[in-house]
Amino acid sequence: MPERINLTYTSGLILHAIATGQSYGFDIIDYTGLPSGTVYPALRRLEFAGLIESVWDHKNADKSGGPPRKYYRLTRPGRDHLHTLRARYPLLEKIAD
Amino acid sequence: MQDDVNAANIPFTSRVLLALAGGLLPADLRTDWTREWHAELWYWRRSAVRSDMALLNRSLGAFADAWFVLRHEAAISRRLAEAHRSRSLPIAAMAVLLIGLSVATNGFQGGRHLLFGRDSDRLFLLAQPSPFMGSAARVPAAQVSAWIERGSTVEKLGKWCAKDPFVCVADPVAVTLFAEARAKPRCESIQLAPDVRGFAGVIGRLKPGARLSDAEKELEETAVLHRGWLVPQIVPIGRLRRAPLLPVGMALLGLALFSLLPLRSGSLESLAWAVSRVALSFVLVIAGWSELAAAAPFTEQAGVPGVWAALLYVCPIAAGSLLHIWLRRDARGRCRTCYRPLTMPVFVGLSGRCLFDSGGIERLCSAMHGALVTGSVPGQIGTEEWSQWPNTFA
Repeated sequence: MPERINLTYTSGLILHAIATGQSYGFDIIDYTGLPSGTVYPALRRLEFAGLIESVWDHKNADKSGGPPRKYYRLTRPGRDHLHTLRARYPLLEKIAD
Repeated sequence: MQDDVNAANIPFTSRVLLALAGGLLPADLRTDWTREWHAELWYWRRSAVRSDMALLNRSLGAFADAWFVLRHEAAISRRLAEAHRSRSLPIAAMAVLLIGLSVATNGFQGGRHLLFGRDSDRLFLLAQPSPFMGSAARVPAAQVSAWIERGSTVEKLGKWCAKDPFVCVADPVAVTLFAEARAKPRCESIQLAPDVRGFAGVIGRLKPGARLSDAEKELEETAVLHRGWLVPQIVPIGRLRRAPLLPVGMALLGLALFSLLPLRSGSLESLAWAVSRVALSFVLVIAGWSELAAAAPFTEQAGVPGVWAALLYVCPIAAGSLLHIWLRRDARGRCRTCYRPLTMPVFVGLSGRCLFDSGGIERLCSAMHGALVTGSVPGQIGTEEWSQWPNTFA
């Protein structure tokens, strides 16, 4: 059952980070400057709410020789939600891509 | 292979943290969760020069993440939601708080020492009669002091100072006991303020093997008791402390047994929960009461002041009675099989709709046992109750 999500600035920031190409958990942490203990639970919550989805990235793992990594991408409701959040928090737009 | 590469590139401290955080999760969720965190740390470390401290700092977030995942795991979130709804949660929290506070402040030890300590039976008070109309029908302090100094039944307890009309003692054990009991003897030699109000009687200690009757007889022979004077009684502190134990204890035991009577247990599990709930509730009342008993001050008549007597006898029985009423009412709304509260409405009947069907709400527990029909259909059913359905059937 999709979880109801609040229109918080943190969720907006994380959705914005994903929309600008920060797909991995630690990249989102670096981009937003939020601690890992905030970003990961927020990512789970957004995923439960159906605003983002996660996929295991095996292709890049084979190329780099590292372990497979999980990346996050926006879903259609997630894009709509981000649109609403950008209207509410105009500063989100000003964060450099 | 990739996992080996992964693990080798992550500092030991971060791996330990991830293992601890991952330990919170059920096995089926843990594998993916650990892989994600290991992979992120691996790539993050490779992308730039990172100190072990930076990696450790970032790994700390794994605990918040694991806790969040755990809370959203279906079975566990249901149990947590049940615990939140349960009325026993505040009681359990209160019990933990009380026990923690008492242990931390040595409260229980102090109470037990006064109630059941060996010295409690040997340390005694001299129950002096109350002065009436200016009379002084009490053994003078100097005579009591002489008795304690020379008697064969009582021990000398350190330095005595006779300060009319009080005889005080500087024995460390006695001072500690009396200080715990907030019954501080008035005595300059133990640095107590002279205006301290409270117990103003005589205390002493029986010699090993000496009986109370022997001590009383000896005092009678030593002191000059005028005609019509009452022989002062020697009352051990232990006896004073334990005086309310029997009547109040029996009353509380009876109330606890009566609280068990309306139980509708249909299984051993339910019975165990019910009995432990009743026992814990009454143990809490008894613990609070014993703390109260240990804190009661003494009077010169070797008793406790009237207000304290009321507190010691009436309060525990009143608290036990209220607890009994609450437990009886609460037992009605609990499942016979698992003792969970019957809160989920499954059928709403309308009064008079069917001839033999009573109107009302039939409720089940969250494990789908039991049924409770509650009176009539209310005008509005709270959304909180109905919102449990998605959780149960998710």
